[in-house]
Order: sequence, then C-alpha cells, then structure tokens
Amino acid sequence: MSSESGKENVSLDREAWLEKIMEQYGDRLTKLSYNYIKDWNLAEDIVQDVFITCYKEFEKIDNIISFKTWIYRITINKCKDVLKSSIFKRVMVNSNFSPLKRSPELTPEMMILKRSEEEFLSTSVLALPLKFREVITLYYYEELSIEEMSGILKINQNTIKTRLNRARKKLRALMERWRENGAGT
Amino acid sequence: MERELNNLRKSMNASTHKGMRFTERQKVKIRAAIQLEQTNIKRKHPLLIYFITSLAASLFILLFYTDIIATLTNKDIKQGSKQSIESEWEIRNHYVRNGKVKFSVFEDPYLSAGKPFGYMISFKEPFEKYEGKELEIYAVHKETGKRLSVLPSTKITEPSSGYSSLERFTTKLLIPEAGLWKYEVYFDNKLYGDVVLAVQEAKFFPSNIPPFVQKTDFEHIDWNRKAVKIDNNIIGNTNKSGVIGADMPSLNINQKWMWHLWGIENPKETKLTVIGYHRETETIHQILTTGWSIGLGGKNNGADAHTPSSVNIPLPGEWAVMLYVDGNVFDVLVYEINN
Repeated sequence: MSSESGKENVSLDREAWLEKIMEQYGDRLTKLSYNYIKDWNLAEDIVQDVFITCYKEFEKIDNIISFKTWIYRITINKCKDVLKSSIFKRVMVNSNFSPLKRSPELTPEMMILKRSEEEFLSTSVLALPLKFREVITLYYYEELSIEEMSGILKINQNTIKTRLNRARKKLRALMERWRENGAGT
Repeated sequence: MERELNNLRKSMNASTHKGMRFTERQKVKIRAAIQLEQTNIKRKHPLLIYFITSLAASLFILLFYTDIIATLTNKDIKQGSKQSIESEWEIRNHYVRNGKVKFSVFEDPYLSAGKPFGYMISFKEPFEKYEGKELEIYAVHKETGKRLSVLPSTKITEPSSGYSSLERFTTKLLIPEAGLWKYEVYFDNKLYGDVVLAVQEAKFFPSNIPPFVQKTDFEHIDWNRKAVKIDNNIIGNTNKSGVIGADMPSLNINQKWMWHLWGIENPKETKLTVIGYHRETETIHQILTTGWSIGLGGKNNGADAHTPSSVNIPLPGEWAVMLYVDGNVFDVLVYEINN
C-alpha cells in the first residue's frame, strides 16, 4: 500500500509527493475521466481537482488502505458530479457522442469513416450508456479486478458481472453489424 | 469478443486515447492552482473582516429599519411635499420616530363606531414643543379612504394637570364607521405622527346578554327619577328596589353592593338580572362581576328579598341600572357614579 501512495520515503515532502503521484497517475486519471466525460478539457479540469484534493489530504493519506482505490474513487465521483451538473448537460447535450449513446444502430458516420476495428471498438465502448461504459472501461481498460471495482463503485460484485455481460452483448452486436457492412473498406 | 476486449487498453491507447494526456503544462496548471489556493487560505483573515462588517451592517439595518423609514419620511414633512408618514395599516398605539416614542394613544376599551369615545394621548416631548400650537386630529378610514377632521383645531395652552408636559391629553372623538382608522395628529398644520386603531362595529348589546333584555327597555329611561336615600343606608326607589353600597367607591374596583327588592313573593326561586347602562356612551355593561344574573335571598332590612353581590363600574357618570325579575323589567335605578 505504501508503495502505491508513493510515500515509502518518509523524508518525502508534500510537493515532492505531489510530483510523484502526478507522474504516476496523471495520464491514467485523465483517460479514466475521459471515459466518463468524453471531453479532454473537462477531464483535465477534473484531474486537476483530484490532485488538489490529494495535496490537501496529504497528512491523512497514510490512513487510506488503498491509495489507488481511493484516488480512482474520488476521480470517478468528481466525473459523476460533472455529468449530473446542469452546465455539463447544457453544453454537452449536442456533442458528437449523444446520438451514439442512445441508439444501438450504426450511425452513418460509423459506416462511412474508414476505421480500423480497434478504433471502431473504442468508439463503440465510449458510446455505451454510462453504467455499461463504466464497467467495461474499468475492467478492460484500467484492468481492475471485479473486487476492486466493487470497492471503488460501491456496487455489488454480481451486479458488476451482470453489467459486464450485458455490455459485452451490446458490443458484440455492434461489432457484428460493422463487420457485415464491410468494415474498413 | 473477449479477445478484442482484452486488447481494449491497447486499442483505445492507439485510437481514442492516443498519446500522453497528462502533460507538463497540466502539471504547471495544478501547481499554480495549489499556489492560488494557499494564498486564498492566507487571505481568509481580511475576508472575514469584510464578512463581519457586512453582517453588522445588515443587522443594523434590520434593527433600525423602521426608524430609517421614519427619518426618511420625516424629511418629506419638512419639505412639505408629502404629508404621510407610514402607509402600513398595522394596529399600533404608539408613534415612534428615530427610535423614540413621540406619543401614545390609549383608546376607550369599548371603542366602537357611531358614538363619541374617550382617548388619552400621552405626548412624550417637552412642553415647549407643543406650547401655543394648534392641535388637530384627522382620521383616515382604511376601507373607504375617507378622511375626516375628528378634532377641530385646539390651542395647547397649558400642560396636563399634574404633569410637566402633555402626558395626559384627553379628548373625545367620534368615528362614524367601524374598521381600521389611522389617526393623524397635526401641530400647526404639520403632521406630527399617526397611530392605527381598530374601531368596532356599533353594537348595542354584548353577545352574551340574556335573551329577554330588549333594546326598547333602554329607550325610555327617565333620567330624572334619580335614586334616593331610603332607610338603612339603602339608596334606590322607595318600596321597589335599592342598594346598600352604591354610594361607596365602585369605579374600576370590586365593591360590595347589597340589592334589596320589594314586592317579591317567592324570593328563593327568583333570579335578579342586572344590566348597567352608561348614559354618556350609550353602552351596555355587565356590572355584576359574576355574571348578568344572581339568585335572591329572603327578607332583610325591611325589603322582601335581598342579595349581596360584587359590582364593578367601568366608567364614571350617569348610570341606569336596569333590574329584571323573571325576565321582566322590574325597576330602573338611576345613579351618578363618579368615584
């Protein structure tokens, strides 16, 4: 645990520790936030917020059992706060992802754009509804275990498994359609 | 599917999540934000002062709001442009300006429309302020907006007797209609202040009056048939009715009155009902402290029936005490009670 939080060196002061966790988690948390928010600028703002919170909580960090779980959880919670906030809803309602989010059908853009299968899968994952996108990205992208996810999301492990299954089904359907339509040509 | 998903990290990092998303620029931004936050914490102290100042200011305004209004409108009076002080219609007996009570009005507790009622106005400023000035009172009716001169111009020449100033200015005013009335007090044609009082509907009988009491009973009172002294300190009408104690001080204190009636055959099964009628205000009063009626006892002091009672007379002046026995008018006792 202490190696996670980067505080194994007792002489490490607050600033040095911050540098260390920024190095260690900065990119991961930004991408984690992007998986929720789907906007790089907002994701950066959220991560900035997270690190400021960390900096303030420096003294209490030693009491936290798993630093990784903790920092993931505050990041995810901040993302969800932003998603719920009225500003986000107003600004993002017409963003590119909205139509995808709702319809399981392939949109014309998805058809026309020449993309690799990898790119198509990534886009499809991001287009999933939040509760499926969340479990898929945490499980496959962040490579967390079901147990860790349960701790971070405060959701029952079986619920997570069910959601994963349903998300896989949705993705499979999308992938099959895409292949039938002559992907990448 | 599982194979593709297992490669999701690789796929995303190659497409949607390409490249390093956490740059040196971002780190600089975070460091700057933390710096800013630190200075904000240090700045908390002066901010706190501003907060306390504004809090104190708002409290001040809250507490002295009415005075501020009064002061502002007072300015209007001086300019003579607008002669209204407060537009509110909340009942109040006092007029307050600059945090000081300028005068208070104490109205007759039976204040109602259609009859003159007494008011005691207690002016609080030194006598020099009022001396030689013309006092006028106007009344404004809330409902109709009617404005009447209720007290014609009266010159103030001397202070209330026993007081250094006008602490006990008494007057009688007639208000024609029931409702809320604003009494505007003027000195030398300048609005001095106002109070708002509720004037009751002109009601002859209190609601709990015994049903056999008729208004016509009070229309033909012979005010010249005054009660006379009979034997045994009884004051009343010979061989009809009389009271021991009616000449004792009874005004606003409970006094023992002993009632005596002649010509009652079965006193122990008879009830006496006593209705007080005040001539000046033409108002009905319950003068027995225990109720309108009282049971009678046997012979005493030469009368056929008698009963002791506790009596309280609310107003000075001429009174007609209407006596009813078994629901019929028995006699009228006319007294002049001044103490």
